[in-house]
Amino acid sequence: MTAQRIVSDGGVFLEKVRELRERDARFITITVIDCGDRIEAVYHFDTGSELVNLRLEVPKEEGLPSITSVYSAAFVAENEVQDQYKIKVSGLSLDLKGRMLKSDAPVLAVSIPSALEGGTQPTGRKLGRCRESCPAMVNVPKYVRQIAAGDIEGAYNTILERAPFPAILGRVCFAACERGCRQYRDERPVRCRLLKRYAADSLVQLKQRRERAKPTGKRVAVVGGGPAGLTAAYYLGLLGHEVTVFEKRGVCGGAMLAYIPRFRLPQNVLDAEIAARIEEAGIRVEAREVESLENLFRQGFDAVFVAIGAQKGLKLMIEGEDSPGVYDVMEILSEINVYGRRPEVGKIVAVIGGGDGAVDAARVCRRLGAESVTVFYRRSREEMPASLDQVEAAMAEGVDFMCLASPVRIIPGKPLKVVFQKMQLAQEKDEKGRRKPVPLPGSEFTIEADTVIRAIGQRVDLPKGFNLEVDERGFVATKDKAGATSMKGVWAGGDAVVRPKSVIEGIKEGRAAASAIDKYLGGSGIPEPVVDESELVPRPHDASEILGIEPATPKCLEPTVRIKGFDEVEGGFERDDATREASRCWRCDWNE
Amino acid sequence: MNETEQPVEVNTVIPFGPQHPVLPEPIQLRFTIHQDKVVGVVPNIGYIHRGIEKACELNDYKKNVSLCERVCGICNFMHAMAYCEAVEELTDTEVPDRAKYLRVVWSELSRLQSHLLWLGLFADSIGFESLFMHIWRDREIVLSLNEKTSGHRIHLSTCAIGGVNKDMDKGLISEYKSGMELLERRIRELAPVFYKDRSVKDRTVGKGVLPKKRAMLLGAVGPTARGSGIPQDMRRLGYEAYSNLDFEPVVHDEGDVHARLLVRLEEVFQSIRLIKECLEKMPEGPVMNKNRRFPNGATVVRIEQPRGELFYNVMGNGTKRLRRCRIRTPTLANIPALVDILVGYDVSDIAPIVMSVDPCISCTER
Ligand SMILES: Cc1cc2nc3c(=O)[nH]c(=O)nc-3n(C[C@H](O)[C@H](O)[C@H](O)COP(=O)(O)OP(=O)(O)OC[C@H]3O[C@@H](n4cnc5c(N)ncnc54)[C@H](O)[C@@H]3O)c2cc1C
Repeated sequence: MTAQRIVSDGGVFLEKVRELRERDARFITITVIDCGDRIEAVYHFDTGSELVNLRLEVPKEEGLPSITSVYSAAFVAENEVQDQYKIKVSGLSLDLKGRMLKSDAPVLAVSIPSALEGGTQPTGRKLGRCRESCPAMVNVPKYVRQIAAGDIEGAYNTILERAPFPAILGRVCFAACERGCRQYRDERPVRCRLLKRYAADSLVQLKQRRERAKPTGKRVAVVGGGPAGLTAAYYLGLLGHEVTVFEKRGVCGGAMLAYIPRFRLPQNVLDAEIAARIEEAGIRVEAREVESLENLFRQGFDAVFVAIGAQKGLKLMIEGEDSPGVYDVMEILSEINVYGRRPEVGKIVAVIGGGDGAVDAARVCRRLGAESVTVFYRRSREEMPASLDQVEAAMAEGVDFMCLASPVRIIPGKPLKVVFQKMQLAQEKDEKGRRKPVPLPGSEFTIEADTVIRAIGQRVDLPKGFNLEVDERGFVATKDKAGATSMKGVWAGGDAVVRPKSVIEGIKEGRAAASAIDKYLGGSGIPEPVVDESELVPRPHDASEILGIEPATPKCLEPTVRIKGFDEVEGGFERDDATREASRCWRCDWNE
Repeated sequence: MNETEQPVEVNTVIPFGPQHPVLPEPIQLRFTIHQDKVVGVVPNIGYIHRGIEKACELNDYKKNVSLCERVCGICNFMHAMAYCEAVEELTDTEVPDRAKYLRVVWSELSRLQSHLLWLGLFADSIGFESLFMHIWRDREIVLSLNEKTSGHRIHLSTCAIGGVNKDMDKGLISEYKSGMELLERRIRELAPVFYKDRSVKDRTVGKGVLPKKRAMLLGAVGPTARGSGIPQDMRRLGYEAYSNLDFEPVVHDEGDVHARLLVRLEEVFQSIRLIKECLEKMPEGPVMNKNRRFPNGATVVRIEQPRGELFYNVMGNGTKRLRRCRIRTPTLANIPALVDILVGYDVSDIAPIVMSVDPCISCTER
């Protein structure tokens, strides 16, 4: 057994522990050895692939520092150490005060943690479930708290530390934070997403004052101006690098610009926020389709971030799929968003697929005048990847859903005829743990449609000249969490890696890559914001203070009005609503 | 009361245990309850701490085998095995191949009887008495097989440093095989109840949810981790004969009580399969190699118990006494997760949620 040895330096030690947590290591336990006047403690961690041991040696009277602020689960082992060796572990989140082994102290004296009684010292968990659930780890508890206190600008800047597009995310994010909220179980999560939107919408101007670091003289090229690319560009720009974004469309925004319908994300919101970030970080945007990465290096760039998205629709691989009247979801959506056209879709539309793209396409078709729009999906409602909110909104707008149906062939003509087959779910599961659909014999049926829209997934359209290794499905292969690729000095992220994802995951990967690129160029990465314990707010003594507050709901357009045009459907919070909603937070980041 | 007068709302503290009908062993959980919902939990353990780790430093290292065996009633064989593996490594003792297979057989039998015990107790905790009786009747098959090889139904004492101290002849092997087949048939009959029955699902689906990320952060192990979609299984480290056997960890993604239940149920079938495979593949040969050295150095052994990862850190100094023997049992690792998943649920859900991590207090109180 080998161990990294640290003698009596709590700071260095905790830093190492934090690094392990960043690597998603699991804390196992502590082995303590009594060496007379010293204590030797070996901390064991499992990183998934190996066992990591950290050895800390301290004088006995000094005691050990607690790691519960990083690994809250360590409280069991640390209380035990305290009792077995009669030493002090300082900063324990749940200190049983020498009563774990029940040797000296009376058992009954253990009571509820001091925090629940409105205690004084904040220790232990400082993340909060919402923040842990967020792919980009946005400091949700902090901005919610700032909004409750009326500090809108502070809230906006808290979000900017980890995600540069609060106004956009406030509209289209899938809001994993809300699903992480402990009140989600009671179906009344704090609406973190809408609070983000409120913070952004109530600012007088989106552009914030930012100190850019001294110019480093290094040049970075970002290929693709979607959320992933822009995020990387933004943080690299702030770190003092000279960043150029190459965007083949000439206008930044990526899938958010080209595909997300305007009734969910208005053009002015998108443009204003992107423009503000570009200005703050001094990013140059060049309208050019990049064809070779080597050329970029030849032009004097020191590093490249590839975020070209996954913008090619997958085909159904059935007969008659190329008949006139069959469209790809990307085609229809970008037709409207980018070219401002209003394509003719006829009266009856069939959409094939079950993701957000399919639901968006269906909602768009209702707005284009289609009277009957049906989404056909080959598994059951439970497996549908589209978010529930979107499905409900679509249903309110009169979109029909038909599950467990898969297309077999399309017969050209006017109207088109589509032959479907009914499916059933087998017991066996695929690699994602979803039950596989298998055809139900003899269950074919035919429908008629003026337009058929195919929305079954996307793949990467990687230019030949990139010379990057790809995985079996054609996505760019990466070597680590930051997205390093097979080529030196090239990182990749966003939809182009692993699978199509979401805006917030693109942002996370863009930021991680920016940090790695900065280190590669000689910097020390994006500085992590420090937690200021003094700003944490204790949980009220009586939970009913929080549970008694009525949740706020935003105003939405009536379905009959919605389908008349492309106006934004969901409304934002008013000031009073936002403050009230923000004060419903349980403050999980305080202490557990 | 007139309309403007509000009822007073206060938190109640309920002590759950150390003596409680669903807990056969002493642990106390102090619940802070607000309007029938759990808002805070403090675990209170240590009622029967036995100081086995310390005793291991005082004994002759060979005697520790039977001591470690007594850390846990159910997984006694596995504790002995983990300790032996560590000592074998520190004394460079090679274990014969046949012994490796026999160790797997006994380990998996332990897992079987543990999971069956749990499935029964769990049924009992949700008030499903007939299911409890059925499962426990079938568990008898495993126990009588145990008795045939070791002479004991529960405490096997068959593991020793350098191998195992009992062997199986051809007759016994075929008896084991038919025993496994009978057990598989019986449990197959009962399995649909766990999957589909409303009285089971109502009490388990969506209860005590532990998301994957939290499970990782809280260091959950065993079925508790696997029920939250983490494919963590120490058997994949390939100790003993596991590297020659073909299996995948059983994983369910939902993270609720039902997911943990299904993981254990499906592991019952997995264990039966592994035992049958071992009995097929077991080579002929001796079952024990003597060792003549004193343990020196330090090593970590991790094996998969029914409740998850068991961790032994054994340090020797070249004498017959050990310098340190650190034991971290799976239940200790699952306590943070247990405390976490209870918050937010009703008082009536406490029993099944507590049961769902399969707490073994004997283990915890080494
Ligand atoms: C219909 C639809 C609805 C969606 N709804 C949501 C939602 O509600 N919430 C959510 O979070 N996510 C949603 N998504 C997903 C989200 O939009 C994407 O995950 C995200 O935009 C991916 O970001 P990216 O930066 O990786 O790639 P993209 O946004 O796709 O950007 C890639 C950019 O690179 C450019 N490019 C490509 N090749 C080159 C080249 N060779 N040279 C120069 N430039 C190039 C492209 O023009 C494009 O602008 C939706 C997606 C679709 C299709």
